[in-house]
Amino acid sequence: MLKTLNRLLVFREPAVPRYEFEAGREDRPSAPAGGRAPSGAKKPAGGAPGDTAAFEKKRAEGRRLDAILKGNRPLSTSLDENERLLKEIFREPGNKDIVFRPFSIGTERPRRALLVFFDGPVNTDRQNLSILQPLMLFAGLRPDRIPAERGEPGPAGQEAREELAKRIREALLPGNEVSPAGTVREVVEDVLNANTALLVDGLDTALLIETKAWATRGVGTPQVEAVIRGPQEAFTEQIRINITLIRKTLRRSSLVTEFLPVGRISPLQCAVMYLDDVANPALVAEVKRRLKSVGADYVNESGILEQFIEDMPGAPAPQTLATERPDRVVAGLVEGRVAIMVDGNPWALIVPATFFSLMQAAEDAYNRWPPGTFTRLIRYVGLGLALLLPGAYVAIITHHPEFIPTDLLLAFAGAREPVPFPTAVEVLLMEAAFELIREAGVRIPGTVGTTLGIVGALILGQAAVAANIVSPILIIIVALTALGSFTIPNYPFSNTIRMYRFFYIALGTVLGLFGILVGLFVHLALLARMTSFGVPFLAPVAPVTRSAPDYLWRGPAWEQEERPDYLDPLRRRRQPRISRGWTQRRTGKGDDRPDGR
Amino acid sequence: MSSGLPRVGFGEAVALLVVFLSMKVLISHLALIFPLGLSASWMIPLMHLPVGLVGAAVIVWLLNRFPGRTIVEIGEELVGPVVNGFFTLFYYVFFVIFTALILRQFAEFMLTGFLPETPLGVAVPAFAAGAAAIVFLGLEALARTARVLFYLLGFSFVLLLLLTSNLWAPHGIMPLWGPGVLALSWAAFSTLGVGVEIFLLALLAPYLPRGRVLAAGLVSVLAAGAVVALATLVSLLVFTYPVVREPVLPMFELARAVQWGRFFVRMETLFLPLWIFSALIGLAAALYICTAVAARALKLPCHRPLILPTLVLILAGAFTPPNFSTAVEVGFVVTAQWSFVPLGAIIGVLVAAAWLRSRRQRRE
Repeated sequence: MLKTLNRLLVFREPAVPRYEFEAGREDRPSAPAGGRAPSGAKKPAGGAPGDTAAFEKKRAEGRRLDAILKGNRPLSTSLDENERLLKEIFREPGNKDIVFRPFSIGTERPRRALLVFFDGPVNTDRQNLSILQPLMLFAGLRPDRIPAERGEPGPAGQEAREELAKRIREALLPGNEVSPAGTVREVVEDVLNANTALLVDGLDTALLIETKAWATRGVGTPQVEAVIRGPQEAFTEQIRINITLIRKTLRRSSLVTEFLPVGRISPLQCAVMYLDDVANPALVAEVKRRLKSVGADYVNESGILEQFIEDMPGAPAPQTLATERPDRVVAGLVEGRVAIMVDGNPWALIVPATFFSLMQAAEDAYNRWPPGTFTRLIRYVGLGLALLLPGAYVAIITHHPEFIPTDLLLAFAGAREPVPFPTAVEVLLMEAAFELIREAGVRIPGTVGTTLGIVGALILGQAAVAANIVSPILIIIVALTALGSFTIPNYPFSNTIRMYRFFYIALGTVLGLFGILVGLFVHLALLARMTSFGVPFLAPVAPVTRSAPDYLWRGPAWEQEERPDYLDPLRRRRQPRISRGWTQRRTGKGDDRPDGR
Repeated sequence: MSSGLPRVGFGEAVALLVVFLSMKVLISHLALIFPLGLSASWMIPLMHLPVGLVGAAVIVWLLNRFPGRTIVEIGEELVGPVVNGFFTLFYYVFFVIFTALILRQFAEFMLTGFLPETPLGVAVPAFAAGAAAIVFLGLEALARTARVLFYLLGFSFVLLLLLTSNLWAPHGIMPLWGPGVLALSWAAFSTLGVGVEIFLLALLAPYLPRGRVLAAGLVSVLAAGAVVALATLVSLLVFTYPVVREPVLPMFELARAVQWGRFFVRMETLFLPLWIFSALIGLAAALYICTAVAARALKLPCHRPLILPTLVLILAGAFTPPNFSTAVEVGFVVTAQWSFVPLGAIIGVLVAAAWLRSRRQRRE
């Protein structure tokens, strides 16, 4: 009884639950420089994950295996040794999706072999029909003429081994892509790329067989760069499909695709595409130099890669043109630009990018030039509205009401009269609400998207006005600003503009139109100083360079005679001066019309 | 693809020089020209033109003899470091004063026309910060920005003049010769310093395309002369003499006079970019001259470290005049009336030294 009472009354520290993994705790003994933990630290029993010794052992093991991979260790002639090493590298038996499939090659004297692959991303039918079946069942139809002796030293043994590998590759594996590999690293990388490695006892060469079958979605329609007229295909997450989409449109022998691995922890294939007879070699070399120099841990998206290769990371605009449309990539390649694609994501980067290329949409070229030019001008107006309208509204209402004609001023004053906030607060509230709705709209699941639309319309529209929080005029301003930002065809650029809008609101609040213009001047100077892979961002306007009529306005297709001078392409001219040959008069001997008219 | 040295294209140089040479019409320069030229004031810029063209040609001749060098290095080569040190000091001090007075005038204009509640202590640093930012970004950025804005400025200027066409009164420029040919010539001669901004060409030359420095200089002087003459002429046509003597900021009054129907009645805000962008380009160019001259004289590889100290001097200079009218008067006296003498003398000494040197070399 007393014990129970005591237990109830006496304060006790609540029991802290113990976890196996306790990293990041403040009371954890601090690790000495270069070491993990003091040697005297108490070790949890049983080699738990928090165990210092286990930690050190694991780290040492990881370093050893990394060293094997980095050191390009050659494969052994012993199948058992190769198997043991690969199992260590792939963390077998802990790792359950790596498969080591032993079998015998059905020659007169059966030879032990091993397939290594990941369960899932490989095409099992192809494995069965193109690898296992011929090797196990049909190998005896063409017996070894030069059997390789296991471990036989000297040139004779080496020659025999090479001959056997060649024979298997050329006569027994009907797959279209089979390549030999002599190092552990090559085997590991290829297996990671969903191929299958064939190791044969007595051979120090593995055969890497194409068996990729990544799960991927089909070619869909563009989600961000939709057009009414023009191709309706967009890139997918599979780099090979993306390259195929480009090659399908641009059938030219000089179209080169180079692959560069990017990322240290999981090197992803990064494709560099260019027209060898058009793109400036210095530009291509610069792109490759930058990509090769990227020492990033993990680059799985072109947006991450972009940050590693752009000229000025702090600049107020993107310096690459991100697109999901193969036709835009092709248009860029034909102009002399270089395309960069990262495996696993549906966005390609086109470099160099200029301000005017960021403001172009694919459809500009597909329309006749008058509407093409008109829509482009509308887009520039949209850019101006998106960037400056809220700031200018604040500036004019706060500092320059004299600019508003009297009738309109009275309407403004009447609408603003019940609103208790200053204009700047009112604008900031609405802009912040709009940005919230916009961000929520991106994150929200599709099924409840309509709800967001209703909430947004209510908040932005009726409720805010009815509650006298904002004036109806401001709703028009915010709506126009939003529409303006949606007209910007490049999504990253549109995001940048959204962000800078708030600077202009602040400048307009403090210094009126004067502040906005000073800000615009500095903004423009920053853009003028920017470069994208060495090309001035405001080219061909500043600096002035020769270019076809395709920047501020869109000229007719038959006037696009030259490639942009700022790209310094190998071929300057795109088409003859008179590209509409039928407009030329035919006279005299040159008249090849059949009826001689 | 880009080298370390800035590169300025022909169009960029012309845009920069034209704006720099003609920005003064937007402040009170014209108000002090009208009393000198009366109804023929518009002829004064045209009379300045031959001198400006010859001056530009002389500077370019000097620069062409020492390709890749600015006037500071050329001076050191020709007259030695000590004498050239005095020359450089003069350039620096003169352009600091020039920038300070222009800065003060534009800031006062802003306060008078658009921000009456704002203290001078805000407007002056705001202008200075904008100019300093672009000078920090470099000559290339400055020239390219001027080039991009040149279309807008040109369009606004022409629009401003054209929108007042309903107010033009031809008798405003009568009598045609104003105070008479002799007095008019004297008025033009006594204000020859209005083109002192062409000195910028002496610092731009190494970065311009070879062989186009002279063309850039001549085209800029011609275009700027035309701009100033047109602004003077339209002011006279709208306000007529002697009313035109009254406004302190004639071009601003011109903008205020614009009316387009019953709805568009206060159009001066529409032309605000013309003032602000011209001012910032001009101030940035002047600040660049100060810092570049000092950097060259001190053999610094970059002008950036000198921006802040120079800016402090300029701000101090801008706040020194007790009021707007003093700043306008001092500015006119220092630049338009007296700057031509010492600057012309320095250029004359350098040209003579270069000529003597080349003669000596030819003899040897």
